[in-house]
Amino acid sequence: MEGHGPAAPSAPPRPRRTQRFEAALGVETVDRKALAELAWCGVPAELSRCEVWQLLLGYRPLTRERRSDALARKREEYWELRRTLYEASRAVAAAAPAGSGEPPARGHTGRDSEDVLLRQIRKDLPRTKLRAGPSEALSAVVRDERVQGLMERVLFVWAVRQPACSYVQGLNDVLLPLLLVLLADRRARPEGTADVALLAVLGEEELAEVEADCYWCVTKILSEIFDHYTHGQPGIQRMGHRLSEVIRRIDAPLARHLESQGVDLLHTAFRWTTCLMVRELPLGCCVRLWDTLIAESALASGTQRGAAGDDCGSPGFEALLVYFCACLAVYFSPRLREMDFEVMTLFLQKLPTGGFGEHEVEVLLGEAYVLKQLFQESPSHLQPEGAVGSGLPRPGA
Amino acid sequence: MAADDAYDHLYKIVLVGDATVGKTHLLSRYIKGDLPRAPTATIGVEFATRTVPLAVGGTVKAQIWDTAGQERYRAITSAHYRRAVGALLVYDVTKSSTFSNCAKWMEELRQNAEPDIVIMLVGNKFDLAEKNPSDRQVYYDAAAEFARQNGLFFAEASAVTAYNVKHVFEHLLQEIYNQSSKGRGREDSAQSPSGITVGERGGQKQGCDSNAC
Repeated sequence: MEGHGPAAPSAPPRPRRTQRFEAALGVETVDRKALAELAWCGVPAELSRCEVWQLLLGYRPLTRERRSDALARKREEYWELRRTLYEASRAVAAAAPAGSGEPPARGHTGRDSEDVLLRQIRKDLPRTKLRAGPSEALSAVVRDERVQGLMERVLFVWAVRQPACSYVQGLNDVLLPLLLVLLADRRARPEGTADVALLAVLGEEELAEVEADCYWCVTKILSEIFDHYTHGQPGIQRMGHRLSEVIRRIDAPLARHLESQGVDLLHTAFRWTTCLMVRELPLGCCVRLWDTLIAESALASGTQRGAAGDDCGSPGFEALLVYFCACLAVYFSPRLREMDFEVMTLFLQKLPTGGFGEHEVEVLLGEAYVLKQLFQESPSHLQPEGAVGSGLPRPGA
Repeated sequence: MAADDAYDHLYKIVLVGDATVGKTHLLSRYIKGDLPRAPTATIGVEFATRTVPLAVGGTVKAQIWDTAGQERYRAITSAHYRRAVGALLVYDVTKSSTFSNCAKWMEELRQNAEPDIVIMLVGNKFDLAEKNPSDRQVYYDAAAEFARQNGLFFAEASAVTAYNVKHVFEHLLQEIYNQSSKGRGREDSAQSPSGITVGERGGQKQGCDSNAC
């Protein structure tokens, strides 16, 4: 695999990057850091993004011989959770099967919250939407009854196991990129090409495995950004403040314009950060962005994750995502600076990113990377003039 | 949505109420004359605007903030109540819990919005109750009584059939105008019989609880 292996006579040679990926994946024990470095620049279409993400997220063991046992054990573990928390839930038992009406409004002590939980998830799932752009086929996958049921159980089990957070609207969106990547991988297809025909050939067992994998992967991601979704959403507030601060440093005219018009990015960009860009970018762009965010976290986990690791949030889904959001806002800066409060607010809540491709995302990621380096080397760049209270709202405007 | 339309007043309005009572649908019906093409749960806040002529008082531009109904988003959404002069407090006529929570929502508004905020209570999904009366969980009289006790305006509406949608928004805007012109003592505009604002009547929530459900 090393270097330029002899290419198959008829097929064109694999691109260099793909070869390096294959080499990194082909070893007995994967070097997570080396893989993360490669994945930072995107996972090539020829490779299994699912496998790469799972390795980087720390779900799939790095050592090959441990893999099948470990995955089998984790899947069993999830199915057990599903039995005890979902299937045995009085709320679920009392409700008609997914998709046909709502659970009853009242129940016994302590179980009411599960009724409410189930009802909310069932309200939100049918209206989980991909950002305009992907094919109708992909939307049909999301609407598919079996997929809806799968998402319901994953979200329900996660919520019950995380009472400090529970289900928050928008987590259904967060689940989408993972789910579509995992699903398509079952037939070695790129995530954008999943369709109902693919679902039709997936047996219950295979789907149950996807469900378990999906659960553990989303759990990994959310554990890094847990306080984005807890009471008062401190993590999201932190990101909003940092975002404003970064923009002030890199695009002062835009920052001044936003301020003069009374536009507060904490609020306008709230959905960007809460849904991890799923609502703002077409699926292909979103998974490309996630390649980098997942890789960024994996890189950091090798190095300084330790005693103090927790309070600075996720290196990928928080720190780097802030820089990405800043670059996205700055990308539109010339247009934004021509807009008044109203036009700008409407513009920001419906960004014209529907036509974005991987190229645009990669350009923005490149800029985000530069910013990260810049601010990391001189942290005082990010020091706001006033004290930066960690506390609740009352942001600038 | 053109920036050049002229107006006499600019009012900030918020749409509040439990998740999935139909706030976004009401707004879409009012602004676009249609239901959202791809309905999704509102995350945080969403903004829309419309300029309308009042029956009395000229033209008003309404800046309307549609808020996420889920409890978790309260920290973000309540920051938007600031300087709001009007609110549509929405519940679902087919779900009693969404009505009993209205007392809580009023408390939120009182704490965060302008003290003399004008509130319109809206029982949405009237079409469902009409189609199948046994689905109705909140009776008109109970809601009207709750509104009367708390100084709210009240109507039932349906975003799906458009029933009363224009009315609830524009009645609210008119009342805000009436209220503010009265406050400034500029004119004695015709007062609605129930034109009482919530802020002046602080501690009435015991009364509402008994009516809820």
